[in-house]
Amino acid sequence: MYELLHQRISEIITVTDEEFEFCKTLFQPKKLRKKQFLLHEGDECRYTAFVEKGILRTFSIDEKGNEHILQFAMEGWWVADLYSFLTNEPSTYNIEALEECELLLITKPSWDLLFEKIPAFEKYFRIILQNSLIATQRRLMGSLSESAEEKYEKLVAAYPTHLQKLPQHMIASYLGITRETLSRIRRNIAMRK
Amino acid sequence: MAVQKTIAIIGATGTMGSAITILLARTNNELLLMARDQQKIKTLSDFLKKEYPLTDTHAVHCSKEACWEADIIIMAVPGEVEAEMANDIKEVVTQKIVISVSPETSLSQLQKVIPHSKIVKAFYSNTPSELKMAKPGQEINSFIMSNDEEALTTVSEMLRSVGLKPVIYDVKSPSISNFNF
Repeated sequence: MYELLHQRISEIITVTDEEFEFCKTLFQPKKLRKKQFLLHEGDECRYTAFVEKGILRTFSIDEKGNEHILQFAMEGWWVADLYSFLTNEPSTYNIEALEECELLLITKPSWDLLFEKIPAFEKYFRIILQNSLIATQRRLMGSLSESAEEKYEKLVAAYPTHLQKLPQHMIASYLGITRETLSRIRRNIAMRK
Repeated sequence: MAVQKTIAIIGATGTMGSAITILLARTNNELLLMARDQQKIKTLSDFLKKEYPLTDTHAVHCSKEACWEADIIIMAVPGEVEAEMANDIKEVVTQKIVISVSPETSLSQLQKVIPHSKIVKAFYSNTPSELKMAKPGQEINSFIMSNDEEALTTVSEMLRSVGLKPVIYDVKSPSISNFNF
């Protein structure tokens, strides 16, 4: 149940078996069915989740009822609305399971306790957050300066296998383009090959 | 509106278990029903679907699966098998609220088996027929105890939502303000 988490942590820091056993006591193992929500807009984001199995999406709905996908969370990734998690303010996002998911949930008090007891975890999360900031900057720059086709090709290059699991309208929403534009791009790419 | 929770009820078809299940079916929570007797589970599940069509109920065949999926676990099992049951689900209930309904067991007994869960004793002071009568607006006293403040708050809200009046028994300094014996 904790293998993937252990593996991911061990890639960055060294933890003893005893430390990892303690770490395990702070998480809530949780299963979600397809289309169930980890977080609803307007609720407080009480947990940060590690994805052991499955895919989730973080999205918001605008006044016209359009969905905007901020990010997907794949196996081995962490997902939360960090702002709401850290401030206890209501979240502006929804987090939904796109297939059956197995998650490990941790609350803010447990997360603080983990850092206090095993400081190496601060290093682990520092690196995770650094990477996340870089990825967010790249995604922001891309959405300001790249064409729809460039954005799509970069996404395919970054997540070739994950993308196959996602419906086209969600990929379009993530890229901020319409479904029609996405299928035109895919047609163009297929014709070039 | 309170956040919807997934509640697993182990022993859902027993007299206590079914009384609690029927009470909770009136709330907006998702229920996972688990019992050994598949026929009884089906009867109960069909009854709930008919009476409370808006409530999300699922019959789950394995208690570990049910508890893995749940946010809150209610162990509506006899006191003598409680520890054994807790041991079976131990791995998937860390940091979760686990409710023990048996009047025969103590918090500390369970704490030894599942030390990383938030154990609450609730419903133990009520009889099944009392629970059947509960409805919002009524104030049937229902004792609860726990060492975890947050769990006490969550369970108190849950009891209030079904018409029970939570009376918190302070485990550390036993005295109940609204009772004088």
